[in-house]
Amino acid sequence: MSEDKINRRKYLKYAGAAVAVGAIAAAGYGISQYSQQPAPTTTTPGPTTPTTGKKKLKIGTTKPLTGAEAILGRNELNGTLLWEKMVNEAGGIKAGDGNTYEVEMVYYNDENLPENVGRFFEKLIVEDKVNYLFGPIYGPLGMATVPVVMRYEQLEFYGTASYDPNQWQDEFGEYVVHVCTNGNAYLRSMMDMIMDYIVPELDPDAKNIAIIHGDDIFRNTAGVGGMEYAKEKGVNVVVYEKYHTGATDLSPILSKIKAAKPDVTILLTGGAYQDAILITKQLKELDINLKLFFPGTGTVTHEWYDAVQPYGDYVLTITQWEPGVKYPVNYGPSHDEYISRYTQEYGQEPEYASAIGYTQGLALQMAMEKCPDPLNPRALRETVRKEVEFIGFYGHFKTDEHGIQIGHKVVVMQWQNGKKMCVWPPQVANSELLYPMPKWSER
Amino acid sequence: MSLELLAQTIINGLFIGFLFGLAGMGLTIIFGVMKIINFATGAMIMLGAYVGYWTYTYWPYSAIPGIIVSVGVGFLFGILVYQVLVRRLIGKPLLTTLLVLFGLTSILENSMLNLWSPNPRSIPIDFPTYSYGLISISTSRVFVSIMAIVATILVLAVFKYTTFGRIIRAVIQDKIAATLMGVDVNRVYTLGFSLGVTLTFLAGALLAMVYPFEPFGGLPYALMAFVVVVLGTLGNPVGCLFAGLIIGTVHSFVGSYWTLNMSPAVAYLIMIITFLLRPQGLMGKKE
Repeated sequence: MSEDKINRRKYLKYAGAAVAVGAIAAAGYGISQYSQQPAPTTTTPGPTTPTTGKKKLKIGTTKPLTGAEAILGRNELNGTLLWEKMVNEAGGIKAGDGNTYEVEMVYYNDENLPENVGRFFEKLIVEDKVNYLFGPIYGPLGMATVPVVMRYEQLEFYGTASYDPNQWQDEFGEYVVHVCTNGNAYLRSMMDMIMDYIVPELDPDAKNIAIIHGDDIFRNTAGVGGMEYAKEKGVNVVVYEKYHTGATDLSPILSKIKAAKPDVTILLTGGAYQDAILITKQLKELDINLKLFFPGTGTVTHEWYDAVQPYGDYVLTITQWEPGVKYPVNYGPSHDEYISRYTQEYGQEPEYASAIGYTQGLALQMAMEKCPDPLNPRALRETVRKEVEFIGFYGHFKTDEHGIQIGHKVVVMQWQNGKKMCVWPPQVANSELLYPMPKWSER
Repeated sequence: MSLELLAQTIINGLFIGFLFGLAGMGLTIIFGVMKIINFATGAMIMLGAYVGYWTYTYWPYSAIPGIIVSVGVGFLFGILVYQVLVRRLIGKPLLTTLLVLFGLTSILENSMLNLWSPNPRSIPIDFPTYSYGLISISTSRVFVSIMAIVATILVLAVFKYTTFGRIIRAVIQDKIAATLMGVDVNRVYTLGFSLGVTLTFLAGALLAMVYPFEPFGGLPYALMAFVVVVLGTLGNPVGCLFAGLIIGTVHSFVGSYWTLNMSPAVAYLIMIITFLLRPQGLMGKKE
């Protein structure tokens, strides 16, 4: 037996082992990929001496204050802390039981790790004895809260758009109130824009679209929900395809779309940030000239725009909220007041996560004001379900019987000369939709 | 219409196949010379991409300087890694190699995370695309393919026509005899490992021109490189390139005519079938 033969066998054996280890590594990838040095958990000092005559309302939360989602986590927390400050400055929450409650936030850094979220939520409930919980931004972290609040029958104001409606449809609504537009409704505003504006006024062929999406929980619910809504709205889905989130090459799927041309006029994608770059580059490389496209939620960032230069303009994006999108507010601070206070407090403009953080507080505040038994999670849940509806600077807030957000809608933005302009819905649009996109060769 | 999709599918597959082939070539050369499996291939591909990207940020007019710098850094990095780590792994159990090089992977990935943040990067260079009916050919892909072919030819030329190549082949055939003939095996190993790492960095720098990348994004490419090495015969650069083209084309066909989700599964199935039916790979002779 030659040395070479021995080595080849060993190689094959260890190559197999490498693939197996690689698969294990891939499984742990989502957890490990962006985690940074663990930082010590912190809590706010909170008001040390409760004001006489006021009761204390303790609210617990975790946020990813380090790791890949640290910026969003910090922003969401800042939004909540600003709400806490403004409420206490105004004298606290005058609740439906006749008492006034001063808010005290208790929070921990979950380090962007779902396992920490579960642990800290348990600690918040059992040791810190908080009255209510605010969920963290970022899908996997939000999902990790649900089993804990269900087990302890607590009430949480959810802080992200990812959830699995098939898994928790019934039980979920008993313990969780959604603040964001849910993942399964993410593509609805786009469909509405296509069928209520583009098709009747600009282009009858625009109802022929393609939907592709990643297979992680958020993108899957966004894509499947988009597909279902497309059928409901009469949109003609010419190509529908799911791919593994993080796929390194999407040219086979995009070639399918090209082969379906000229039927496909608009491409909507539930894709991650990296997918949004990949799709934009490969559409251009394959010279697929669509009239509009939305390559994924990552398009909301300036980093995406820079990465695909000079082809970022005309591309659609969606967001829960953006500065400049103004609603007729009937509860809480106005758009300008919120932005002014936030900028004064933190030295920078708020973004969508900050708005979610503030609105978590605002929704709880209205529920407390209307509920006769405001420290009872079930009673408060019923109040949210039946009586809490308002228009804040973040938009319309209203939930259905499952706690799912049905009032708020994501807004459709379009990159125009390097700026994101709101083009849908018409009530808050600040620019006309540029349609159709020019061909790649003409840009 | 279907003929055009067929043609586009083949073109897409060949283009990505060249990248798979190049990534596998670095792996197969290192194994061929010193019987070490470079389990840090994925992280090294990403590092090559980041070096190309980083150079581009200083010289945003062309991708060529980035490729040159990446190749140079790859060569020096290969020497460093060999002298500090890999030299001590020769003759050790393969499990030791696996653990040490996975450790290196973790160090590299987290270093890239701290240096360049977790945000995916992409080199925004505008290459023209030429269309013939519904078939489109991107010049960036053509450029990547030509670079892969040139790299293969250069590697083969070095192996076949230079003194260094003859020495490498002598070490591969019989290390003890080569040592007795006065060959400095440690030096050959150093250069052999560096050559493999250089090709890996080159694959990364070329990848950065067409795909977005991030610090932990090397794993899918590394797994494909393993598949390509097994299919193309261990230690055979030409086999690697052909295997890359086969796997790339299969990936493209599965994605276009079935579902992209099954593409990695089909590639691993091909690897398993190769293990079972032709363990010596496509270009190897039965022993």
